[in-house]
Amino acid sequence: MTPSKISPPDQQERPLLELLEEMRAVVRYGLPVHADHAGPHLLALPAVRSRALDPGDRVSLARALEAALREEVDRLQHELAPAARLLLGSDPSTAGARLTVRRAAAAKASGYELHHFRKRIEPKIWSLLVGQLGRAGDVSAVVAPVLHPAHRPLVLPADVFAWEAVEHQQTLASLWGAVYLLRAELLRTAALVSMDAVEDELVAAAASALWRHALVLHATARYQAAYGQVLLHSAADAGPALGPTQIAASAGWTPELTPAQELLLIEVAAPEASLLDFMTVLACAQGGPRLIATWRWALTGRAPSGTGPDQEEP
Amino acid sequence: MSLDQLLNPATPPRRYVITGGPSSGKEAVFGLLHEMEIPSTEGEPAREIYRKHRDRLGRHLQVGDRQEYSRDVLAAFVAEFCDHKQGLRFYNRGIPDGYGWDAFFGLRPYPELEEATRVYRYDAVFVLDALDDFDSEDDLVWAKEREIRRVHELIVQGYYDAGYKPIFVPADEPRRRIDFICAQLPVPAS
Repeated sequence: MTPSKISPPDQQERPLLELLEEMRAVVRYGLPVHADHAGPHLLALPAVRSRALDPGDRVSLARALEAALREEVDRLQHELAPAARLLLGSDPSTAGARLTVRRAAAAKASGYELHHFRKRIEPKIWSLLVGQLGRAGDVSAVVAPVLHPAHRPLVLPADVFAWEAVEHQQTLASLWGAVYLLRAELLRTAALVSMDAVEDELVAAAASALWRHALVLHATARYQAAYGQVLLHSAADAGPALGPTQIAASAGWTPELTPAQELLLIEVAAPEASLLDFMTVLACAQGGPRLIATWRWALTGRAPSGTGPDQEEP
Repeated sequence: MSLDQLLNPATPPRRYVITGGPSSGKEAVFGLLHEMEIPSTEGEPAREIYRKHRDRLGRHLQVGDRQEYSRDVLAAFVAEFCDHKQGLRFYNRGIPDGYGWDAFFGLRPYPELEEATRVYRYDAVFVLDALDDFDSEDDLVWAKEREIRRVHELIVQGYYDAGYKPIFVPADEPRRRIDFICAQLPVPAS
């Protein structure tokens, strides 16, 4: 299955040249990273934003950049790794030292003459570090749960973090699942309208779409109760944070409802109940018949005889 | 240095955290530590507290419940820290894991966590790398999940934020990981 992906708006590309230039500045001053010496492209990397306690705060981003650099340089498996650690000052022997001292130690450790190291090898180290940070952030894009064929049962480690991660995945998958089912009904309704189908078919399709829409609202409310208004971890990605309501809206266009009508739908929707149960309860609820008529009218352009959107409540 | 030297109980307290995300193989490492009778955390206190909260609430934790849970876990970590008086001990997660927990849910660290992080300092922190390129049974399925990787990163970040320099333990057999960890430990002062 192809994963659905919602790109945060205004997400910018990360030009390599700027990243390298900014890494050069970080190397010049060494660790720790000072907020004034950290360039905007480095601070915008997903690997950095995902670690920052407050992605809107430059100091917090600089601390996250430092931690990400330390971790990546610690993990680096490359012949230049020891030189990179010495040059950055993450190695205790050069921590806090001036650039000339760090450079001399790094050149010596890597077996290069000092000027050759400065001119030829240092740029390779900037590139290496930028590449490591870039790869570390590859996992940060916001995507719908990606599905793979499974060849064995899923057995979770008994770990609170795993339980929470699974609960989040479950809540998110339920939301996406509801969104896809609503999308299917919206598509079916649009096709029937296009075919100028008979009224009974249109009424049934609109009712199914309304039911699915109510279940999307229910799943959204459930997500918000558990995790808040913003999708977990999306605040760390570049651009404005995504919320569950944006996932819900990705099903397709739906008629505009008032907040009171949305609340009514959430109250009436029960994931275990059938379409018939849902419509029966909604039709008997205060404001229910009007909501059904408004929805049907907006979605199909038609309403059953005598049941237009201006119909009075019984 | 022999294991007996390391374990000499007539030495000042030395506290070492072993942490990592789910699927890092932590359970297996602690299982073997117990078999080897090396002083270490029994079970995982956070897990039992989590179960109690869930049972009491009758549902999964929600936004408003999580900091209370965090505070209970913090109290358990502090108690375990203070109970240890002599010799070496390995801790199944430590106080700064709370930073990772809060960050996972987009919460800011709370004052008690920051205070405890300042007051109760571990001697070293070992982070078990995920077993995602390691031929392990069930863990393999989860280690590749994006969210699990995120949890791991947030835990590591929490320790950096708390002023530690974690030592990364490569994915390997539990025995070799324990050997790796012990090789990093300094000879205890008598």
